[in-house]
Amino acid sequence: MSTHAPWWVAGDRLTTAAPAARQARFAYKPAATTRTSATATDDPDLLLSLPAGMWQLSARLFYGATTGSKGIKVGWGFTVPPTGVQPERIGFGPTSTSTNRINTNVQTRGTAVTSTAIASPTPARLYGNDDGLTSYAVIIEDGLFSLALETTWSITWAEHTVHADGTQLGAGSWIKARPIVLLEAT
Amino acid sequence: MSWRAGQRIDDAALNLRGTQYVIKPSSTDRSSTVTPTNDPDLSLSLDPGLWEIEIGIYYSSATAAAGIRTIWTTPADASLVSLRACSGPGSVSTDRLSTQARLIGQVASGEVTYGHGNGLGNAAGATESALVRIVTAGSVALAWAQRTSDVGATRLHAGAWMRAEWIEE
Repeated sequence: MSTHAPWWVAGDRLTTAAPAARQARFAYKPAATTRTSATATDDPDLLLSLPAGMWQLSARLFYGATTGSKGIKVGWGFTVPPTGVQPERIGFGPTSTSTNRINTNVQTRGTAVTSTAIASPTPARLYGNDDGLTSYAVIIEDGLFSLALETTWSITWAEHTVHADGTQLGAGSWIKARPIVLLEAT
Repeated sequence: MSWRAGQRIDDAALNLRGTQYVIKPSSTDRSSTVTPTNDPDLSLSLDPGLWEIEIGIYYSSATAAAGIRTIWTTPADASLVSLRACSGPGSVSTDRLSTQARLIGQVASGEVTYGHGNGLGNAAGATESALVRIVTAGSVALAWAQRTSDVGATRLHAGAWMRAEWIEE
């Protein structure tokens, strides 16, 4: 057993699972999803089941909205609350009132992660873009969290402002989880 | 990233799972051109599979007009699974210290322009990242030129880098 993956220690068994446990895990959207609600729920594609340990988590989100829906609301969901190495996730993206992906209205903010269930990410962060459903702006979010138990991490999202026009999270949006320390035997 | 039971652990299989890097050893200057061409250094030869690629772009220009424009060059049968997530100064930004940052999603061949105007040597920074599906082994490269053609040079600085991490077959 190694308690400090991605390092190897003498006696580790070279199974198929052991090296895979030391690699980054990815998930990406094969197709876009459009939503017409302002209540955030987990994305059907952007979620990863992660063993106990410390993880560097990263997301690249491509989104479009209209003058009605105004943008996107983004949260992080964890089935088990993480313990804080870094108590907040960092969000880098258009401000909540940005109206066009070409705007130079960028926010770089920390947002606490206190969610206790995938379906209730609190708080969420608002990013603006009303240039159309497929005129995508970009969000970069990062965090470093410790998970005491196996946990599913997800991107949860909804419309910035509820409207029939909808908000779209684009195909190719992706998340990555890189193990810094693993606490389970591999 | 996964391994199959019985799979041979040879140098190729191990190296495929290591992150690949290239770092510019010296700066490149270009002037009087708006036609992007491959950077002589920022290129990686990649095997088939899905890759996460990220590029750290440090650049400067002699004049406010020059700036920089970028695209990605990929093998003919490669495709971007995601857009490029491009963050950096807005196209008309004239000072690397100004709060003119923006984030744009763009396809491989879509030109993204970043502004500058502090003169050669005061590098501004931009990053671009995307998921790329390689079908036939080949090179992915950063191609660049000036934002607006100018006799004053645009410089891509030494230390600019490119990273590729293999995700799956």
